[in-house]
Amino acid sequence: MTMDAATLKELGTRYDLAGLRARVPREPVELYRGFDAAKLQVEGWHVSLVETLRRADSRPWRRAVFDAAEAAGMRVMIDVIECASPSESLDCLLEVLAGNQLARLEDGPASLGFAAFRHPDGAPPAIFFARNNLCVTVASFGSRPAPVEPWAERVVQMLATQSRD
Amino acid sequence: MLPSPEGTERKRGYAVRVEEIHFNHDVISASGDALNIRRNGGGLPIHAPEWRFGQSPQPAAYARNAISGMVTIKVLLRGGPPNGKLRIRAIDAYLPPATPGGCIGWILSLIAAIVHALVGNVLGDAGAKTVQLDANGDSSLETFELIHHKLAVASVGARTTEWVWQARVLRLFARWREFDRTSHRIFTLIDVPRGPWEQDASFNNLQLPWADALEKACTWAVGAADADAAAARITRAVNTRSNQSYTPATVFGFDPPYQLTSYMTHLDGGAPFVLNCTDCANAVTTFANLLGCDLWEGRFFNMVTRKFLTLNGNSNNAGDWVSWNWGYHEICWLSAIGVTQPVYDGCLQLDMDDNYADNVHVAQHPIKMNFGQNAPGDYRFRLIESGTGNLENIPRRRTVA
Repeated sequence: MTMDAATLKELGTRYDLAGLRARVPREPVELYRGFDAAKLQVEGWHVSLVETLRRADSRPWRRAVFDAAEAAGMRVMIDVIECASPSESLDCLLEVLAGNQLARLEDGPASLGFAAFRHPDGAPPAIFFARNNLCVTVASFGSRPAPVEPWAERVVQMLATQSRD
Repeated sequence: MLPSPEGTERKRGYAVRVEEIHFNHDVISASGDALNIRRNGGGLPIHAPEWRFGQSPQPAAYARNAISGMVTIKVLLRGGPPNGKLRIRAIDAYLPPATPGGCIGWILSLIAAIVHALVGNVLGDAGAKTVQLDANGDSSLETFELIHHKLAVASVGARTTEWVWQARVLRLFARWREFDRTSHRIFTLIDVPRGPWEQDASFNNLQLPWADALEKACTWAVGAADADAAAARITRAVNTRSNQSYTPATVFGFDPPYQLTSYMTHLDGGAPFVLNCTDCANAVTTFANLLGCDLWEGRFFNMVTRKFLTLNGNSNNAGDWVSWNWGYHEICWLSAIGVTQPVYDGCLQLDMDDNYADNVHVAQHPIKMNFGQNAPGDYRFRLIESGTGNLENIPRRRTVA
């Protein structure tokens, strides 16, 4: 974990860190490798940008941005950080939460992962979750709000498909 | 314009040319030559010679406040008269455009002079010196003093110097003859870049100033004559990029490194994208400190804000005046974090209208405002409606990637 102690302490005033850590799966889980959200195929959307970002801890961080073909300004960003374990993916999720200005995020759908949060109504849509060894952010990225929950579900479905294959 | 090179040297069967020009010939110092820089977040640092015959020229950067005494370049010549000697110099290729007489002519001349001052030659001329050539007609790496340069007084800018290289044989009444022309992209900064930027060129240092970031910072802060003006212009620029809008989530890296390459990719791409206060503080600090400013990022906590003008908002649009319940907000601090310190905020514009109950708003960029407490001119008073707003005394300058 690269987060400094002061930031972690501040985060602890906003979130139940012990409770979150208790949610980390104890049993062995499938570890996803090389997941590429840019391969998602969604009608009416196309990939406009794919980036590989650098992290101090060298964990792979891939970003894909999708643009709506028919709705100018509507974009969705998917960030996937690949970790070595569920415990590390929670650490990454905590970093994501630490970098969110809102006093507190709402809980997200439990179906997405062992920990999930989302922006409340009124904020640009965004959803953040830890699933197995992945830390995932799906955010409305353009000048017009785009619903993000369907995209998060697509990511989960693609992971499931990848597992079956 | 000067005539094309048809001088004495060519008629005598040789054609001297410029082979190399070294601007950053001393990587330890920036007092008499250029700074250590790199092209961008990939690849390698830019090494002298920045200009080499037949290759794409590389830019150079100078820090105004670091310049003291003589500024020099180093030049290698090829193809001159074997074992000969020549007087060599470089002069500004710029000639003011022909203008009509009278008032209009005077105004046009003035405009041309201003444009030239902002974007034209800042290097002055390479002073004449006698160069000894070897049996192949090549020189050794010769040091030339820059004369009439403005490097020690220049404002922030990204300028292009066009040089005409001239030679003269060592004979009474010999005339200067043009033999080459070179063009150079030169960045002028207020001071040596501060953190996260570094000057250690002993390895492939990613924190050396990036030329593509310099291009942007120098454009945003063009004409700034001191660090305060540069920081102010960078803050305004970050706040008003037309394809940005606000989201509470950090997009370009909360934990270091700051994803500067990605931020610039999105800026230049033109498509809309979102970012938050940490991203804006990173951008302001990183670009301003690239010009020699002394900013730090720092947070404060727990607040419900007054209405402010959102990132890239239109002050005449009521919907762009917003309020948030924030766990933290991150801004830029001059020199240190503290209640009495001046701050810069590229993420929003404050409402300076005293009546917060009505819909009248007076937008102001938070530029070198005292953080303060509850005085009407304080940043804190203008931003926070309720909450503690307690400071986290951890100054940050995130490394770049």
